[in-house]
Amino acid sequence: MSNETVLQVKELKKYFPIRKGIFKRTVGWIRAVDDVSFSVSQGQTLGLVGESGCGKTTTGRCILRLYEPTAGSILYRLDDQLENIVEFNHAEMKRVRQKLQIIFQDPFSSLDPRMTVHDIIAEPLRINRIGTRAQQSDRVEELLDLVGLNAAQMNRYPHEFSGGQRQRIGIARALALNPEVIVCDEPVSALDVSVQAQVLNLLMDLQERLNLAYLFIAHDLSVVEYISERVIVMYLGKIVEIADATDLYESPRHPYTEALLGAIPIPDPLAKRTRKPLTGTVPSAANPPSGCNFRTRCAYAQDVCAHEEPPLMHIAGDRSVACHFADELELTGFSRGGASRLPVHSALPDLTGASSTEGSPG
Amino acid sequence: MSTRPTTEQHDTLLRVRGLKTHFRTEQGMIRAVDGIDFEIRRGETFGIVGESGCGKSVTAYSIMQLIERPQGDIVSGSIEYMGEGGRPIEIAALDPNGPDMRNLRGNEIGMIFQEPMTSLNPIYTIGNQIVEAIVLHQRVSKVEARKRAIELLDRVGLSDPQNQIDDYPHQLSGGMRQRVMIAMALSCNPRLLIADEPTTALDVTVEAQILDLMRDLQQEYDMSIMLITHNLGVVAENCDRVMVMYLGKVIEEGSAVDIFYNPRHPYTRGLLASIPQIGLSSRLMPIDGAVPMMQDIPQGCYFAPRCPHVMAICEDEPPMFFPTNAQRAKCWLYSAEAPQQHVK
Repeated sequence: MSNETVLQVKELKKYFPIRKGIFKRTVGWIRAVDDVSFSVSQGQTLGLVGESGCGKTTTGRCILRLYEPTAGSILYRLDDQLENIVEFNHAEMKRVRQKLQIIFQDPFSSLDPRMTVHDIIAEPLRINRIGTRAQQSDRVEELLDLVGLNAAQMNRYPHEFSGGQRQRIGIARALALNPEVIVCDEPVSALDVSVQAQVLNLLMDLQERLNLAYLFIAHDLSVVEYISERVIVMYLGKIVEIADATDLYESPRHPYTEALLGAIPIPDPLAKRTRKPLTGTVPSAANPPSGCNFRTRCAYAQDVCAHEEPPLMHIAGDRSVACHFADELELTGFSRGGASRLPVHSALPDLTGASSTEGSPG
Repeated sequence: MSTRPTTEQHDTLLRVRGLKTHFRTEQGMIRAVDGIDFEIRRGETFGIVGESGCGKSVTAYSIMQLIERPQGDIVSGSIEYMGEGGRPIEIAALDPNGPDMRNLRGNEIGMIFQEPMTSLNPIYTIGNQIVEAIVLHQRVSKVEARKRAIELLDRVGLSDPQNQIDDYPHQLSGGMRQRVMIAMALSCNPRLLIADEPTTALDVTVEAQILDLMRDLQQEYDMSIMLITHNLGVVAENCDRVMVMYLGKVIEEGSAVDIFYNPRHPYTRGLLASIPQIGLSSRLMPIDGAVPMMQDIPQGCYFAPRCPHVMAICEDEPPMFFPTNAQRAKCWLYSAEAPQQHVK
């Protein structure tokens, strides 16, 4: 896996106007994404977590220019050069979008109900005039096979498939043009637990096979930890912390990261832990607090936090934190409260017990 | 939501026996809940887990007699509620719109729902809605009811209840709305609170706040809670006992510790192996396939097509419960004949 940067986001801003009155005068701005910078390396997964309204989905959509960024640049590697795609015209964007794809959260609304699965997956090929019809069909079959669906079902319509299968169809469509980067916007949050695991494993297998880079947007911290090498935590349109997944979960440096980790319910009834629940809710992005965005809910806030906005500072190793006291605070990482691993992941006892004569079944 | 010692005597509050709730649809009969038994004890938190379509919500709606008729109906079974008087009330026999059922809802059994926005009426202030509930169920004046509503809103953690009582639902955040729902459900001191995915629509930090609040209120009001969720972390942290459902049937039941530390049914094991756990890099082991549509349910064990331990008998005959101590699992693997079975 090379460490080459395929996608770089620099000082990205996306403000949505708040319009009021009959003339729809702009009375204010929602700062959905406010000065966000990061880069994605080839073959890697960068997780993006945060609570609703933190700007994670907007960031993902700006990268594909489904939303036009208000400011900032999005650099994408084309022919070994990083080029700013914000300035690209329609035709150039079409070329970029072959390499830069997206998977959506809701497998029900992201597939056209009037198109067959074959047509849905072949559409990107058709639009980009790749191959003959027969070649396109072969490719569809290949893709269905790749995502674990039966190619015999390709003439069916989306409603005939379950949520997990529909998400696989969405993945097949995203893979049709051999992309390098896929923005995964909450790809598993609408799925049941057992199906969620199937899709996560599929995404990881595809990454290994096709050397894909993912920007994996999710609100579920356990899912993000499972799939990501690096993780960004966002709060109210800003990045509060970026670090390698293990570092971030074991030793967070931002109070918000600590609070998020402390709130994860642990699937172990014997886990004992003292949680310091975060009070209040996320303030409105139209009217964010002065200074540090997070200070209104922060247990460690001091006077300076109300006046000065903490910049995202590079600290030890390969991590950055936006907190005035990043060096002083002693924060607790994720702890499962004693038990180091849950028993379900230990070896399963023989189901049929000692009476079994055939060894373990299955 | 505390772990209670097992020596304490079990005082049953709600006993469900052979409950079947079916729905008639164009695709045929949907057996959403198909013969389930369980009981909820006083003061405990009883969890119901399962994936979408397993019948966990329909179970709750059946207890509250909120099944949409005539498409749906409680076909058979009993739901016994042990009220204060000591004489059990047979909920399944009550008229869903009759005075007895109305009295039971709210006064004895409260319910909160997944999406607090759709369960609050958008055209009335939250105060109006809570006052209405109190006046309907208790003999108090409106002024008295409003005072009580403010107290409740304060208790569930609204920052400025004096003013917020006159807010409309849309003026509140999701977490605040869920707090209002809880205040409303608690307004008449129910003995049993049914919480149907109460935190699924909420952010993780807000979820933690709401669950903490429910835990505190449970102690304060001495309630039993029936917690329906698909989140195994929420179950582990909050429930004393857990029931796992699959396609309208209970497939395993036991204490939370038993379910998580010694899951017996292959489905329960599969669920637990499917959740990503922080700090463990091992690959997830998902269950194969997907939940079958209600129309093409297998004839033997419903889980047989996805089960890694499937035997010949599983495809022909539905299993019964094989109890072991306090835990029971519906799986042929625990039958005495299992070793003689042909493993597929």
